[in-house]
Amino acid sequence: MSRSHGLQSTTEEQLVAWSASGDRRAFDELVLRYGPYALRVAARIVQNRALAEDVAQEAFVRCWSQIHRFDPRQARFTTWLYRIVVNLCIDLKRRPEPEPLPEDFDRIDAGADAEEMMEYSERDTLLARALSDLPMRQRAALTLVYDQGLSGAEAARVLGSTVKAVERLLARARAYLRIRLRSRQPAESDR
Amino acid sequence: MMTLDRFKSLLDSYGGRIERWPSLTRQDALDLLAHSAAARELLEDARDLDDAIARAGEAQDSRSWPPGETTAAMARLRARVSARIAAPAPALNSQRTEPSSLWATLLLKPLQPGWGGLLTGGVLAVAAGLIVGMLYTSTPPPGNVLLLLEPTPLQIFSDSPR
Repeated sequence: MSRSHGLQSTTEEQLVAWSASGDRRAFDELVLRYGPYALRVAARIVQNRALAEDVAQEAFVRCWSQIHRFDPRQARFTTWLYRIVVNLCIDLKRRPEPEPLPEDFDRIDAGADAEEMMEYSERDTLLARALSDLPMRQRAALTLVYDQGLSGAEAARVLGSTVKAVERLLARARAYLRIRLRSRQPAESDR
Repeated sequence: MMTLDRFKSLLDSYGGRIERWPSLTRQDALDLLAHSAAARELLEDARDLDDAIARAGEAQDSRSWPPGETTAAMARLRARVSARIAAPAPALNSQRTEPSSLWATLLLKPLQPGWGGLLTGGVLAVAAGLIVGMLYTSTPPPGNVLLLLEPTPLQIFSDSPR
């Protein structure tokens, strides 16, 4: 395929190969294609928009500097990118406090059933806070498998771990979230 | 055949969406669901939690990236990455000239980390020791030097008067 053709239709493998030969336009297309994923994963893990942007930026710069060593036959580019993103998030020495929830967080839709929406909103806010309280690796596992749709094996590669270890991280995260959710729910007899 | 315990264990990790489960377990899970009311009940409970987690995640995303902010964040990301990689390309970086021999390495990169640094330090220390030793060693005295090394007789066994 000629490089003069639009990069939008170029395969990931070809973009990686061109980037490895020093083609910055090809690499920019990779940033454009996978930047939103990197930002979203980083934001979910570090819980801070500015830090997430820093992490995504650093991850792509590292990708660029190492891309000549990346073998697309061994792994998908996204798996490699996620691994760099997650490692950068985990390596952040000082974990800043998550941004406070704004007053209008998860505003209730006036058109919906008010009581039902109030209950949903309360649960969502509660669970959003519980998600923020999860240890970083549990949050990373949850983001990769539940949000990004990675398999347990892919998440294990990203986290540099085993499938069993990822399953344990997920199970612990779910158990914690379930407890947090139930601890605030009124008992049936109270209703 | 999948047991209910195994089903629950997978449910506890991957949640109620069977498509997330390891591919080898999916059909067994569906078979169990087909004839086990207990499995179906567990699945329903897990899906409630899945939905709550998904909604909380989406709420977090909309807080992190309000409408329009994703586009702005992407523009910033592309601009910053482009600026940072405008430096030498990776292919050029990988072709750094390395010293071709051990001596060149020792002389040119004496402060390098790791085993190279240890080796360099060791060689330099031995060399310094040799130079200092050569500078401060006096020439041998004339005469039979070995006499100086003979033990002196103890006075208490000596016949000579004090």
